[in-house]
Amino acid sequence: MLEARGVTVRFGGLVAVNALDLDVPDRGIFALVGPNGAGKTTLINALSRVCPVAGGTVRLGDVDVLSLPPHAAVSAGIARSFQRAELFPSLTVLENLLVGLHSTMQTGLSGALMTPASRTEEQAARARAERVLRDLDLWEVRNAAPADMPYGHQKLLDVARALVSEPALLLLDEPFAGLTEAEAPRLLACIRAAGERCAVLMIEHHFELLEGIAQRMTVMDFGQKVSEGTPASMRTDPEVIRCYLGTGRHRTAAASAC
Amino acid sequence: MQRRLVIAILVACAVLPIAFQALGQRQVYWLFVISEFYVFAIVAISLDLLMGRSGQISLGQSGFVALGAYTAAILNQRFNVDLPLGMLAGAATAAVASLVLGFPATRLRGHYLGIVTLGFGIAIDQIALKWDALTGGDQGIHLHRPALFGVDAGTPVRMYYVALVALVVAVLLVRGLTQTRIGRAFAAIKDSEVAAAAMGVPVARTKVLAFIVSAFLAGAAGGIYAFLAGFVAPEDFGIESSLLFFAMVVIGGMGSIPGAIGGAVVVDAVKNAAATVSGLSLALLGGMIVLVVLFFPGGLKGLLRTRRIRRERRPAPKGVVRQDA
Repeated sequence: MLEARGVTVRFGGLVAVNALDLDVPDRGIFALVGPNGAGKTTLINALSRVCPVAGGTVRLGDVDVLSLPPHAAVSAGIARSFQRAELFPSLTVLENLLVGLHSTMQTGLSGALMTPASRTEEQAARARAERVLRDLDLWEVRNAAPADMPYGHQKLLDVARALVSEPALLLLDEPFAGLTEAEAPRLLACIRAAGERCAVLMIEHHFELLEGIAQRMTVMDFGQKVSEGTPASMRTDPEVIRCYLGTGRHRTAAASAC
Repeated sequence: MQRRLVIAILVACAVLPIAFQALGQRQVYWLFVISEFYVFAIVAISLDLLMGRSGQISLGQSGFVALGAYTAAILNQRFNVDLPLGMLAGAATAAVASLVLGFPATRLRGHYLGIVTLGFGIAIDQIALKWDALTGGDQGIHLHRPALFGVDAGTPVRMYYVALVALVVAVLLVRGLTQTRIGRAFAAIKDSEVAAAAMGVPVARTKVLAFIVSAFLAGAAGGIYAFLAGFVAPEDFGIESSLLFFAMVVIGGMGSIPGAIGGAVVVDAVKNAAATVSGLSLALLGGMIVLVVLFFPGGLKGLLRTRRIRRERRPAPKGVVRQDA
C-alpha cells in the first residue's frame, strides 16, 4: 500500500504540491483529478522519483520511496507512463518494452558474448513483452519505430512499457489523452485488468470514464487536496464543483467532457 | 539478402591477400593500408557505441587509441609481451583511463562534454610527446616483431588476418551488446534520461559504462595498431586522428555498425587519396561533415534507409505483385 504524508514539492518560490497526504490500497483503480496546474503530474513525478521532493514521506509497503535513487523506484514496484509519451525513438516498439524490463533482468556486458544465461533471460523477457503487446493489439507493429506510429499507439506503448514490469503501483498520467474511440476500449480493459493485480493511480480528465472504473478519487487544486471519495460523491461535492467541475453555463472545459 | 551480402564481403576480405599477390612488392603497402583500415573501423565502431548509441559526444577517441597503442608498445619493448596480451593490456589501460572522462560525463552533455573529451585527447597526445622516459617522446617506440601465442605474426599477410579477425570479433561483440539489456539501456539514456531512469536504468552508471566499453574497444584497436605499424609515435594520435574518427561516425550515420564501417571506408579512402597534400584530407572531410550534417543528417545509413523506403513505397508496375504486399 502507498502511504504519502505531507508531500511537498517546490520549484523555487512556487509550491507545486503542498503537504499532501495520499493513501492508495494494494489493488484497485484510483484517480487524481483537478484543473490544469493543480499539481497532479508533479505529484506523480514525486512518487516516481522523477522530481525531487522538498518534504514529507512516501512509503510503498515497507520501502521508504524517497530514500531511493530515481532508477530504483521501479525495482521497488513503482512504474509509470508519461503525459506526453516519452518513448525511446531509436528503439523498436518491442525494444521499448524490453527497456521497461531492465530492472528485472541481470544480463550485463556478458550480453555481448551471447552466453546461454543471457540468451535464456533475453528470450524470457521477450516472451513477457510480447504477451503485453498482444494484449494491447500492438503485436503487428512490434518491429516498427515508435515515431512511425499514430499518437494513440504511442500512448498505448507508453502504458504497455509501464505495465510490462508488473508493478505494485502503476502511475498513469492521462493515459487516454490522444486515443481514438477504437483504441480507448483496449486500454480501458488493460487498466481494469491491471487494477485487479495492483494499485493503479491515474490522472484523467474524463470524469465519466473515471466514474466507470475508479473506486476512489482525489481532487487537487493549487497543489493541495481539495476532496477525496468515490466518483459519485465527488460529483456532488461543492468544493469539487467550485474548483473543477463547474456549474451550468460556467462549466469548465474539463467538466464539459463529462 | 543482408546475410548473403555480409558473407560475400567476408569471403572477399579473406581471399584479398591471395588476389594481392599479383601486385608483387606493392602488396605489402596495400595490405598495410587495408589492415590499418580494419583497425580504424574498430575505433569507429567504438566511437559509434559511445556517440551513436549512448548519445555522448567524444572528440578525443584517439586518446584511448594512444593509451592502448603505447601500453602495448611499452610492454612489448620492455617485457617482450606478445600481441594478444599487449592488446588486452592496452584495452584495459584505456578502459581504466576512461573513468577520467566517464565521471564528468555524468554531469555534462553535448558541447560541454565534447570540449572535455577534446581536452583529454590533447592531454594524452602531449603526455606521449613529453614523457620521453616512458614513451620515447617524438622518437616514439619501435616494437619487436609481433607474435601470436608464440607463433610469428610479423608478415603483412598474417597481420592482415589478425586485423580482420579483430574487426569481425569487435562487430560481433558490439552487435551482441546492442541487442541485449545494456545496449538498450545505452539507447534509452540517449533518447530520454528521464524515461530511462523511470524504467530502472541507472543513468549515471550507464553513461560511465558506455565510456568504459568504448574505451576498451578503442584501446584494443590501439594495441593492434602498434603491432601492425611496428612503431608508435605521438603524431599518430593527435587531434587530427580524433577528428577523423569523429568524421567516420558522422558520415557513416550514428547508431549503426555498418554505418560506422561505411564511414571508416569513406574517411580512410579520402585520407589516403589526399595524403600527398598536407591538410587536404582534413579540409575535405570537414567539408563532408558540413554537407552531411546539413543535407543528410542520417549519414550513409540514413541515405540507404531513405532509398529503401522510397523503393518500398513506389507503386509496382501493372501486373506485378510485390511479394511483401
